[in-house]
Amino acid sequence: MTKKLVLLATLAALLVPCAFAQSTPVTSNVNVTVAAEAGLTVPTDANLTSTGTLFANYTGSNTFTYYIRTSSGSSGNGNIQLKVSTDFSPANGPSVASSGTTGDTLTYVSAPTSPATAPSTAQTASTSAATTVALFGSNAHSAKGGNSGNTVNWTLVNDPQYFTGSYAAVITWTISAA
Amino acid sequence: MRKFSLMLILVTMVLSPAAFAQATATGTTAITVTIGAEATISITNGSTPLTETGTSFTNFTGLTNFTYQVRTSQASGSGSVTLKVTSDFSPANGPSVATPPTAGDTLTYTCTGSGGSSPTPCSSAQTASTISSTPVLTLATDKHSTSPGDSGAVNWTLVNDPKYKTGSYTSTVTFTISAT
Repeated sequence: MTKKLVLLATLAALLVPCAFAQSTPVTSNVNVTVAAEAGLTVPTDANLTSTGTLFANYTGSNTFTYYIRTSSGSSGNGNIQLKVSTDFSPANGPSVASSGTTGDTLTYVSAPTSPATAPSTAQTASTSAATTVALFGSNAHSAKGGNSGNTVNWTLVNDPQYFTGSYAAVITWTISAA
Repeated sequence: MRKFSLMLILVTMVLSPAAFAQATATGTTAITVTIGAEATISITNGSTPLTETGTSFTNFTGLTNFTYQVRTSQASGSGSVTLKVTSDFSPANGPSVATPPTAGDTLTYTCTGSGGSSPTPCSSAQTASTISSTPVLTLATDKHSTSPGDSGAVNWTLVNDPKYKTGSYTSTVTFTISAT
């Protein structure tokens, strides 16, 4: 009899909590901090050619795609810049570094797609300072796949002083967002 | 609990800079240009009047100035400026390069040139022709004019033949510059 009572008590102890239990939701937060961010596909090389009249300037273009997200606050902004990180070589051809004295400038006009805006005037490329390709305001966003169809149209003065031959310069592009 | 707190601090430290830092990405590309031999010429005075000065029946003389830009190749390059009378004097009964009224009624010229391209002017007086081009300047290998251009001139002399009927006569001379 005692054994039966113990067994019954044990069963009751097991059943009672089940009979009155409630499901209690447990929550967990998933947090993400989305920051200003920017990326740029490296443009293909630009081959400058002279067409039309003799000693017409050399021209060519780059196209590029950008990805950007700037902050929504008043301080949000972004830009794309470029710099001639390696001047034309070999020697005796065009030179960006000495264009200030020779006037044989490498200039460009950019035509970026919205939300980017272009500088108001043609820019003269430099080996010492980065120059502006595009500007972004606050809360600027590209498409997920990037905004394509942006162009930079180059113009290199055609100086008879250049020796004949092929010359190449390296351009470093930088995009930033805050 | 302490372990969790430490991890939370570490996560916070990692995430916080990303939330406020400026994001930057860079890439490089090349700009290439192939520069070849090239030349262009511009006549400064589009019309050159030949005039007679001094004593009677002295020859008619005049000066045609021109500027040119040139770049010759570094290897085996050369260049030249030549001219040709592409349209003889007209109207008829005046001077003529092709069929002068008297043998020896020539249109001749001498040449000058200067500038960074170190041109070699024609070595002696040249007789202009309606048939063939005649030399004005020659340019050597790897020569370069100044950016605005070098200069040259042709000093014309037209024999003054009494047989010419009075009047105004015009011919056209074509200057050609070439570079390799």
